[in-house]
Amino acid sequence: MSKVKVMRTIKSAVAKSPIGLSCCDLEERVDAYLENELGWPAKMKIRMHAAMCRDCTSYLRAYTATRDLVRAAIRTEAEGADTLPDDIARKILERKKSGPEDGAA
Amino acid sequence: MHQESAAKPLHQRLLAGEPAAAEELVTTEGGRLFQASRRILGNEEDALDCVQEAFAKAFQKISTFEGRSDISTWLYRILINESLIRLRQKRRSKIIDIDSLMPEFDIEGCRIEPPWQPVKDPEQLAESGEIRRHVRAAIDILPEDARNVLLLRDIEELNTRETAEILEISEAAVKVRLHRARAALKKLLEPHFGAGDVE
Repeated sequence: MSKVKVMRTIKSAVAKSPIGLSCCDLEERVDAYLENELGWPAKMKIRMHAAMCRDCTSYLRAYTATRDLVRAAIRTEAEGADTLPDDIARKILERKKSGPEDGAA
Repeated sequence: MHQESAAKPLHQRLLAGEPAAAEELVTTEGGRLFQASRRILGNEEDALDCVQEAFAKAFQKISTFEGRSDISTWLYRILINESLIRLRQKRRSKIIDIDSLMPEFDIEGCRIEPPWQPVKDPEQLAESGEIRRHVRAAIDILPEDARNVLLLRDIEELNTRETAEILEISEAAVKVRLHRARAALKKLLEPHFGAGDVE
């Protein structure tokens, strides 16, 4: 039996125990875990599972890194677009003057 | 008189039709709204159109503002809705089959995942214009329901409840769609970290 198969057999056995968690269980809880929404016992189960599951450790790292990349990329992409150009501000106010206003008393 | 007027809440001054109040709203909120729309849409031209539409709608509907939230929050929500409508209208060449990008498990329920061996961290990668284009392209090919949740939760950093309210879906649906969007983006973008091909 290969080392990988042995590890998977052990993981399956532990997953079925009361303190265990399967890879599929971890998948269902991954966002709650990363956003710190889980209680201490659930968090510990995930950490225990990740400690003996190389695949889930890789997955968690890649998942987190991708989420961070998406945030950083879009934030960087929008840099500089933080002031409304004067001509647009003027257009908005001119349109208000000429348009319907249900708010004007 | 002027001091009394300035002490009134902004929405009441808008309701009274004070021109200075409209100018104040555009000055204080315009930049923030422009940036938010830019993040959602990915280009300035569409973002500027949406900001103008959002202000026009806000001025027209000011009498419906009940004052339960801050006026900037109310305006921001109008802007987000305008931006998502604009995003829907933009023709997309391709939408990915998101199911094909979900994590894989063997018959015993064990995950099948390549080792994670990144060569750069996310912040470093985001400095590259090419990578940013890949990120935007990956978001663009997500199905609309997953994409909208991702934009509000991960880009606009709204919480689950706020996202559910804006999209008029349940909080459980927000969670499911966010997970699917993140898992899909992981699969689409992880090659750019230099991982996935080394055992």
